Amino acid sequence: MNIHYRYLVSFLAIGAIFCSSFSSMAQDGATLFKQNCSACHKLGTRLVGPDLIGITEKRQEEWLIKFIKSSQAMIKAGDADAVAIYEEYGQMVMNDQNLSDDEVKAILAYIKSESPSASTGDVAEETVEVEIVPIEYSEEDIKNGLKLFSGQKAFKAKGPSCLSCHNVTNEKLISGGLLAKDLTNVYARMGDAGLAGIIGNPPFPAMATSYEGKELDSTEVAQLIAFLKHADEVSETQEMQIEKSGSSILLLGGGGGLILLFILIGLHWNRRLRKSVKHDIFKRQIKGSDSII
Amino acid sequence: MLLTVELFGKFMLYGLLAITAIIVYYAIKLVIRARNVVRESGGYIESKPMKHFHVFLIMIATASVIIYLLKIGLENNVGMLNEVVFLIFPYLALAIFLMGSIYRYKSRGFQVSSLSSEFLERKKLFWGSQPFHWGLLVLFFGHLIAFLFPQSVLAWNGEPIRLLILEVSSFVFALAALTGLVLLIKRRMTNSQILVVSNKMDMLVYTTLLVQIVSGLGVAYFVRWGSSWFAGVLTPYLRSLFAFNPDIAAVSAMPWLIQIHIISAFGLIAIIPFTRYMHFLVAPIDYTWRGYQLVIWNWGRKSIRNSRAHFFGKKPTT
Repeated sequence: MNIHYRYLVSFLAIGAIFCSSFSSMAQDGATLFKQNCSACHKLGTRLVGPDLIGITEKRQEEWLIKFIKSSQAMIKAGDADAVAIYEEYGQMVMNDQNLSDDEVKAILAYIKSESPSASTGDVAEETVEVEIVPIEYSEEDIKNGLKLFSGQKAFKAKGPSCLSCHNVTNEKLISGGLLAKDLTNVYARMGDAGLAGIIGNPPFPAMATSYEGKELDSTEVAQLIAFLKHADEVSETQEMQIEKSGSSILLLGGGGGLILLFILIGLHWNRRLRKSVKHDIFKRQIKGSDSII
Repeated sequence: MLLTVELFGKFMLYGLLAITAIIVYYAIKLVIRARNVVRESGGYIESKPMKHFHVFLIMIATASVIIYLLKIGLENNVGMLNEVVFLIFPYLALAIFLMGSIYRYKSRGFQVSSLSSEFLERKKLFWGSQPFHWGLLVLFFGHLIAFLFPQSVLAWNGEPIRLLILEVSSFVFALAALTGLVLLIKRRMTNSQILVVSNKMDMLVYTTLLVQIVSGLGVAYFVRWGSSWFAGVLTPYLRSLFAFNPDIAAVSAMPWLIQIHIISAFGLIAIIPFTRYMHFLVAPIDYTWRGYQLVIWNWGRKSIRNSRAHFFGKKPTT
């Protein structure tokens, strides 16, 4: 085989791999909405985020595309409407959605098709907020939720425990991970519906990857919410105990362990050759020369 | 308004990169021209080799600038940066590692070693090398286990006390590796015999290792319980890379410290063929189980001559 030909083939192969990895499949608006938006938004009621019925009438399409792609950038830039929404929803951050313009347009088209027509656009403004009936949870639920949160009881689908990435300040827990948000008061911010939406269909990329194919079932979700509600209620009385705080454990344990490791290494190789290999030969040479002189 | 702020940030970053590139280019050009002028006019340039410590400092400074630029770029999602560093760069690094190692082994097989300096200095070497190598060995296999058996790691971490044991012991080994590395750097920089057998790539080795270990310690402390979330978030990413079906959504959203740790890890893999890292591939693992070697010192020549103890088989005929 000609060597240039071989190069060409390998370049083509590498190119094909890259191209295939970049291409994304075109999807319809309804599916995209379900995958990317439904954790926080519902058509017809307010969930974690606002009701989106009639949103296409209320805002310009360009504004919506910009907001969906990076709401925080707009808020930082001082867009009045964006800041108003941010304040209204308790400064809850909407994730940047990794969607193309066409995909956003497909979602907007879907929302438009679900919304009442433009002439009755005002209806959207008046959607009645569904009265939230607080769900009562039993002690058993709270106990199970705590175990699921800390990982003492594994999820049925073998997903990682919440404690890996989240902290909840509670006397029954060691301090949790710092990769994601502190959840001590998350119940107060999001409520039952919001939490169920996020836990069941995580909108955050790292969380989505962790639970891909390992989705929690409905009882597990309910038990976790029960625990989070309890943690929020008792949070006033809880303080992070110093002996349970991750930072102090890491620093003290790390420092102590390091000293121990050095001692162990010294002891184990106590009978090592301490002088140079050549030391004795060298000494002998000097001794020999002395005797000659 | 929004557009201008976003654009301004991008312009700043690309501008900074472009200006740095231009300055470096013209500086090199100027130096070469100046040397040529001096040479043509018959002047003599004393070729002073650069001190290794200076090379090391320059490399550390360069690494800091690169890390800072990457941090800004990754946090602001500049261009295709995420795709470049988490998708193209890993494949590039692995390809360089694979082809470079084969090339080096075939063309300079006798140089595939870590160029031991044990004969030159061994006291400081012991307290540097032992903690460093044990630390890195344990951490390497820890990462490997989390990559190969994520479910076992998650099961182990189920009980909080076991999670703490795993995290603290990993932290200890990371601290040991860092302490050992600092001692080894000090040894190489201060011992004149060892400076003679050093080269610039050794300084690059130290730089990459420092970045890697310090960022790893930072991740363990500031983004803690990494042993658990590694199994959930990073194992799928690494697996997707090796399955040629890369999914970078999760790593793109990670904190910058973790991203730097990942990027420098692939950087480290890429420079294996060009550095003393090559000794990974020829590590004398069989030393752990081979028997003792009998060393006979011949200072008592007469007693050796008369001894019947040493040759149980056939006596040498000479």
